Amino acid sequence: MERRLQVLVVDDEPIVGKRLKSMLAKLGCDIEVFVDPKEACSRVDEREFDVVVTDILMAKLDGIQVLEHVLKRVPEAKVIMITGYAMMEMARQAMEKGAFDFIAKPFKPDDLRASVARAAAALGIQVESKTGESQG
Amino acid sequence: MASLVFLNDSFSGGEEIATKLSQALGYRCLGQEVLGFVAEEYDVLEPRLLEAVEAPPSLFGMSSRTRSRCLIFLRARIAAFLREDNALYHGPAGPFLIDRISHITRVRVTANLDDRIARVAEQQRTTARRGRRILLRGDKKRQKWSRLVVKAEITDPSLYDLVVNLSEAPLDDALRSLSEAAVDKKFQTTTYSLKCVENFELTARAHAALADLDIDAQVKADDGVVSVRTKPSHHSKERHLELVREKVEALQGVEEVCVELAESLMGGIAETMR
Repeated sequence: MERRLQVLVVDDEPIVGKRLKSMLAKLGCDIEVFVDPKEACSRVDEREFDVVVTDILMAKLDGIQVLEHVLKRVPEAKVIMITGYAMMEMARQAMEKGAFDFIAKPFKPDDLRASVARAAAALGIQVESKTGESQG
Repeated sequence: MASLVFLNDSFSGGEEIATKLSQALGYRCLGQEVLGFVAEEYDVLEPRLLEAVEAPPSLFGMSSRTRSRCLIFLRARIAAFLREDNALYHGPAGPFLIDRISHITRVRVTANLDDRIARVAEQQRTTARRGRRILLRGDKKRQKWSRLVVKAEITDPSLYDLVVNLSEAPLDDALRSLSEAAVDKKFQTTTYSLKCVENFELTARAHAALADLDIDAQVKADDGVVSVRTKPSHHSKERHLELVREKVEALQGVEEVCVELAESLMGGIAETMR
């Protein structure tokens, strides 16, 4: 049986986390959502996630710190950064630190799903497409 | 992979390294021949384009309107070329005409003065003394152009992500470091940077489409939505807005057009005084 993609979502705005969860549910993955980035990092210490989708500008820890923490724990994890304040230098910084992708808000659900699907493919894990077919 | 935009100092060997690098990386490459493509696409004389990108403004030279028009068309062509990644542009004015986009690496290629002089003397079959005069005159012209036309200093390092001096490093070393830059993590394409380049290309293309209606139109594209602030010159306001909308709606990739009139300074003052 193909294993399901394990996804962690971190965004300090609860409604954003809920929206991201419902966007990604269509890919047939298992998703955990955190509004507290410190708690999210503690969760990463407990179990491995394949993909982490994290906001950048958060109060307790920023997304770059989450990125660094995740990759230290799970170097193969694919971390996708999302932000409402996208700038060229921020994108370069995130990619230099090992992010898999960088997406500016607002974004279309398909953009995030495509990015997660690419991350899954890079890990050799299949996800469902919109039509319910497997991708990856 | 990253795309690259080069600005080559004259007689620095930049064209040679650009060609070799694009071959090594398997990149599409575009240089000075861009002017021919622009001339054909936008029905502009190639010598005019060359003048627009080389000759500094002068009293009896090209009008600023004509120059703006040429640069708008050139920008649209460069943007179309960079729309897909894995591209290397080393034609005129690259870093000055493109937006800052995270996966487009800006490179300045230069060489020491003596080496450049030697290259001029060899290519133009002249003495080193005359070569020096030719080179320094050319450099002065370029600097004046960039200061007056695009309000930038060619030598300003903040314009570039990398500066390569081909006198300091052998060609193979320079090729190697540029190849490494092309695959450097920080310059990789992202969903965000691909959107930026799409928006930049559509903005440039829309601006080019409007160049003959309103050269000073402010155009911004975002995810297929093109916003235009424009001032009528030859038509009534209503007719002008209609024409602008028609021109932009006809472009591929446009989903929605928002057009508004730009307030003129005199119009604003007149309104205040009523």
